[in-house]
Amino acid sequence: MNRPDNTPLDKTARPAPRAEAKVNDKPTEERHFTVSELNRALQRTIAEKSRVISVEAEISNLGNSRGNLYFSLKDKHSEIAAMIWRSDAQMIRTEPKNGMKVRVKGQAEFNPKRGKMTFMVKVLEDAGKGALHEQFERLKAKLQSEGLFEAGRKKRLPAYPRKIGLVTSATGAAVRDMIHVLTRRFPHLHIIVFPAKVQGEGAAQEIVSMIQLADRGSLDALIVGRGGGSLEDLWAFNEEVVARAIAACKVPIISAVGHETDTTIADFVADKRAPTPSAAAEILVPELAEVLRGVERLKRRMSQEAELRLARLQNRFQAAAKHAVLREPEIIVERFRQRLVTSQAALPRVLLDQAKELRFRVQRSQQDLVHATQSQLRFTEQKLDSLSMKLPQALIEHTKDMRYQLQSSQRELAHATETQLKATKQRLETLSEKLQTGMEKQTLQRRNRLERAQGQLRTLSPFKTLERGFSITRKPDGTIVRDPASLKAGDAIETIFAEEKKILSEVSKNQKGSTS
Amino acid sequence: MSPKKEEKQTAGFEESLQKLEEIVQQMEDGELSLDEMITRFEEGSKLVKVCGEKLTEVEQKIQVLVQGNDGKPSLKDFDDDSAQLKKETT
Repeated sequence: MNRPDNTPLDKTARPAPRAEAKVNDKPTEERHFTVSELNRALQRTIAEKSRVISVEAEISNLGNSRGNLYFSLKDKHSEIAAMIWRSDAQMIRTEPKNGMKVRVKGQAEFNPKRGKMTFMVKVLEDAGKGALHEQFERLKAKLQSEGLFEAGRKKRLPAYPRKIGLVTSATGAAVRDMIHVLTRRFPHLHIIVFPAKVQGEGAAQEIVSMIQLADRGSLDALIVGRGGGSLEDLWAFNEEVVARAIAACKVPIISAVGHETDTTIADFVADKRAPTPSAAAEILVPELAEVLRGVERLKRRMSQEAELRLARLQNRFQAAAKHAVLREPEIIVERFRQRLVTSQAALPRVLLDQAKELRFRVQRSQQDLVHATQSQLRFTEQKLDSLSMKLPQALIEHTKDMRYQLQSSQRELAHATETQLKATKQRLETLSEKLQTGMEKQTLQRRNRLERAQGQLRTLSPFKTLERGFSITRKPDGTIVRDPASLKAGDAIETIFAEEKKILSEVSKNQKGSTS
Repeated sequence: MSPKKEEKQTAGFEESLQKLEEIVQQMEDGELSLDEMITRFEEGSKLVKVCGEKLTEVEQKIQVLVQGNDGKPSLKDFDDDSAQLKKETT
């Protein structure tokens, strides 16, 4: 502390009075600073003390050097040099002008080279507009606290609006842009323009009354907006009355104010915010061609599904038609034939009857089978016919092809059935012939046996003996006389000769042991 | 102001489309009997036609609201207006 001052500021301040007191003393300990030292010290001090502040002032002596802006900030009594680096200037939307009241944000800096104090501006805005900004923020906060911006109260935009209102200037480019985009995307629209003054005195009021009028017009949706302009131009859309009218409107509203970078209170309240009027039109209506393509896609999916089902059905039908029972009805006939064969082994007596019965049943089964097969095929064909009538043109080809296949398989089936039936009939006939032959053989056999028996019978007959000259003697009661002792004189006897000739006689005398 | 407002019906197209989508979904789920499928198919085909008609049933009309002499607002063709405006500006 007591060492010689080596900085030109601060510490020299205190010893100064002393130095002053000893003004005539030889300044043995006095240190001579260079300007550079002084300025560096000033720079350090300023840098330490200075902070970012906001200053309200008027611009004068505006100059531009390689994009860097130089000017003075002044009020009635004072002024200070100020500058904006090019990189910062590019970020500032307000273009500074001489005499413009501005609010700037920045920091004082000391330039040691030139010994000059400069206020380095980072942010600059029109002081008038600054007031508007405050107003904007205040209203935004107020409406927000009322819940007017809440997502829950936003109405859903109709996906396919047909009657659309435009609350905008009838003479601006915006209205034409919107109509152009709307009708290009979706020609079948009813558009009503609700002309309103969109800037200047009374604009807000006109916008409000047009929104209210539009709300009564049974519209599907409403676009409220205008083309680009300055903050003041767009101001009507930051008015509370407009915000409230938008919030109260029962028709869904898209806000479309200015350019993408412009945000208004109307945007917060509206059900949907569009960056520009053209964008609003694009958001609101779909492209008709795209919608039609979507319907077409659904139609195609439906037809494909129906076709698939029909094809699957066709496969099942063909599989069923190929089934052994349908393709080879002989299997059923064979079963009957088996029973017939079994029956053939049964009693000859009932054989013929049973064979007849079986044959009749087999024939009936054949008829039934053919009939059933045909009617099943007819039924299926009818079913497929009715399907083909119901399905669209796209499927008719398919069904035709299927019917052709069906008919050809039906023909094949009929042919196969016929052939089988012929074969079966033939087999039956052979069978029946065999049966007949068998019968005849057996009958003949019996007749032969009979004849043989008759022959034997004949051989054994007593009459055969008579033919050789023997005779038989019988009593009147028919008993054959084998022992003459059984006869006595006076008994009547009958003598039988060959060829059944008889004589009656009377025993005259019985000589024992001899026959008369 | 109630937060939920009744949404306007838009010419029935959306409903028809939704029904059609449901039908296609049902058919694709493959749980329908043949008869049901045919019924759905017929229904769907009708809806395709209805959708097409609904999309194009509105005739393009562009109107502007004007204040009549009696002070009552009325609608008039917008194209006339814009043509007039174009003439004025050129």
